Amino acid sequence: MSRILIVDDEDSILKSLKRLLRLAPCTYGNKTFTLDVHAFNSPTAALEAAGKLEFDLFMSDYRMPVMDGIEFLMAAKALQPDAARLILSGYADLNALVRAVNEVGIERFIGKPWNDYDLMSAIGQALAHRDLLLENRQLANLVRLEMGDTTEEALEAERLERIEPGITEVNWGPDGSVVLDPEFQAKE
Amino acid sequence: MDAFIWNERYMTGESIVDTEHQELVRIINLVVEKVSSETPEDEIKSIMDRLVQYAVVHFRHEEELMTAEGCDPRFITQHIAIHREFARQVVNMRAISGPGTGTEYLLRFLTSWLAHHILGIDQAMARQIRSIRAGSTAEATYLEESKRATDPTTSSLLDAMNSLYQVIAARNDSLQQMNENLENKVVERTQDLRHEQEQLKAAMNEVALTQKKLLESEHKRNDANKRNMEIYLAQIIDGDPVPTFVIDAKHHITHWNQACSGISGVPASEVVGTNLQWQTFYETARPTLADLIVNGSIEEQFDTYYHGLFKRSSSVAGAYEAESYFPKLGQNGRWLFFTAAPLRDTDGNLVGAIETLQDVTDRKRAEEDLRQYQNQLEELVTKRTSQLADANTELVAERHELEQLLSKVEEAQQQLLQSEKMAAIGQLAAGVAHEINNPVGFVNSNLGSLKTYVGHLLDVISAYENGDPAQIAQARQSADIEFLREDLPSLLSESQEGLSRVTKIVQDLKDFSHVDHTGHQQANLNAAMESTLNVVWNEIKYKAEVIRQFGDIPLVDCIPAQINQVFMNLLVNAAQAIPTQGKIFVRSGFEHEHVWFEIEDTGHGMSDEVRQRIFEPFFTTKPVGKGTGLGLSISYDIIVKKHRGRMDVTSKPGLGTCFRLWLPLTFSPPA
Repeated sequence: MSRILIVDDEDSILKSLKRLLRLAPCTYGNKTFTLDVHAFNSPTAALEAAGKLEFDLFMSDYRMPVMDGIEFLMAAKALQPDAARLILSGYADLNALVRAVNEVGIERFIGKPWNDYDLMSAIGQALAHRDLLLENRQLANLVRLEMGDTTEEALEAERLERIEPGITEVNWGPDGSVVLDPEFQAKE
Repeated sequence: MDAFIWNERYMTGESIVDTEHQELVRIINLVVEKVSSETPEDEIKSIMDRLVQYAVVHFRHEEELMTAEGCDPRFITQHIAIHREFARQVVNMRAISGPGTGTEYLLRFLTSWLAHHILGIDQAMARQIRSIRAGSTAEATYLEESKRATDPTTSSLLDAMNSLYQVIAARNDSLQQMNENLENKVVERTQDLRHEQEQLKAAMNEVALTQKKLLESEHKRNDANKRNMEIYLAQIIDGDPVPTFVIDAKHHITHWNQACSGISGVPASEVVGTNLQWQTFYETARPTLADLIVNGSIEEQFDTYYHGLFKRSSSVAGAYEAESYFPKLGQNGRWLFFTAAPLRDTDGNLVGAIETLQDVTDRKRAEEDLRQYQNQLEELVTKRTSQLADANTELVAERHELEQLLSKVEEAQQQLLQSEKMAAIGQLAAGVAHEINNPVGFVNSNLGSLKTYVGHLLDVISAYENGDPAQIAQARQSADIEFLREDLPSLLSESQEGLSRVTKIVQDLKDFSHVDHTGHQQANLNAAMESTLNVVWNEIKYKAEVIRQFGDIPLVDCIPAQINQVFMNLLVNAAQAIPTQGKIFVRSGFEHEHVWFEIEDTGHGMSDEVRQRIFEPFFTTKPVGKGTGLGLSISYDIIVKKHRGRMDVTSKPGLGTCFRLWLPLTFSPPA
């Protein structure tokens, strides 16, 4: 079961996507992904959710109030770098596309109106690619561990860092005190 | 009468004396010859004069010779006395001798005297001179000579001669005496006669005097009259303001009036009485018109001197007139019109001519000036005409060019308008595309889902038709009937709503662009604003809340597509002026027969410098690619020029901008 997050300011879009993705599984090659779709009509709400749940894939509209799709995906990438990223948009100028590819590293740009099959294929492909990358890393770490290039502690730190970026780093103050993250302070 | 025969006996041995003696003989012979050939008295007399003069010269030479050779003074005195006596006799004889025999008589006397003198005393002189040269003293030779005189032969002859001579001389003297007596008587008689004559003459004189007095008084009267007339005439001529001169038949100037002096610069005193009238007018001597008239050769010579410039006077018979230029007169020369007429006495004889001169320089100059001016004018007119023609051609060409330019400008403006519209629409494309693509996307997707749903439902129906409860339950399970029951209505209604949104967008676009109405028409501008808001909604909905405050406005006669373009420009600008989130107030109203619209934003506003330039074409503050710089320029053009409206703008940096446009209710096409 793959957990994916969809953001679009248009509720009708979200509902139609949910209908589509509920009915048919996404397949790529011999892999089939059943999806747990979380849909949000506001990027802020979506980011909030992304801070709590781990997602395999983010799919965003481009033109939205408050923040556009690229800004949202950048924020999401900062939270969950391993998740795949897609843009589903009716229109985007060249600047937006360049930024999307260079700054966000999106997997695929899907235009509206979309073809259902293409959309599902794209989602499947992105998920398969992500699985491949993760598997590759896991295997590489095993080899490194066996070779003695890395340690269990380092791998665990890396895993923790993936889940909570910056958790392994301590911000020392000049007097030897530990400085907490500003956002962490704000939350409290 | 016989000639004097020269022989040896006469020779004295003194060469000068002999030569002169021979010459005297020759002259005597010449006189003899002349007398016998009856030559006129005068000629003979002149030869006789010559003879006497020569004799006198000869006597002097002899006397000088004697003195020089130192002869005895007694001899010299004696010789000279003889000479003097001879001279006296000759003078006497010539005085009494009349014509005819007188000369003959004188000649005989001369011949005999000369012969006697040469043979006698001259020979004696020669002998004495020879003796003195031979060494004797003067006294000795004189005494010896005195002794010789006593020589019987010579002295007897000489005495005879001498006595003869004495006789002649005596006779001469008595004759002269008689002559004188006679003459005295004649003189007496003459004096008597003269006296009588004088008495007569005196009487005559008295008569003549009386007559003369009478005549004189008569003449005086005449002269006075004549002089008066002349003075009178001279005054008339002199006082005549027309320069005039008069010449007489000999071409001498008789009158030269003051005006003439004035025009010529020559006073009358210098020319009157001369024939220098040409000098005043010409460089070289030549006849004047008056001279030609006096000559009577006017017709023949006129061509020579006046080269066809003259004509017969129309008013005065026999007069001629001509006009010519005289470079000599005045500073720059003068033009004179001159008339000459003959003057005749009472018998009709030509006695002179009068010539009047008229200075026509001013007239000529005026004429010349006029002609020049006329020429200049004509030249000017020609020049102007050609200039005008040129200018006209240029103007036509320029007009043609301008027309072409104008049509180009119009074309360009049309293109600009179109391209701005296209740019604006392009800018909207993102929003519009999004707005259309979104519903199309989800409706399309929903239809796909619906297809699956329908398949499931058909499976469920088939199961029901088969009546197998297990199959029915299985079909219902897989179809998830509960979910479909819940989802289908919303699927359909959402899809319907999506399609209606697409329809509306297309309608709005159509309304906005008014593709089916390009002319002016009565339009509800509140509605137009509404449709424009719909079109641009996607552009502004993420930035601003739109607050509509529409007033009650009448229909406006306008070109709605253009007004919508303006609304769109203003709305998009307002949205773009808002950095993140703000408000856009859209208001309308009707005042002073004008409909107004106001679009106010809460954006960043603008400075005065920017505000002053916003209507300039290609002026933009937006980043490259965001604006053409033509939106407001074209909006201004549409409202102010095409619709004769007004466009106001107020702005405060940091607070926002408000555009207000006014439109008249009626449309009047631009001029």
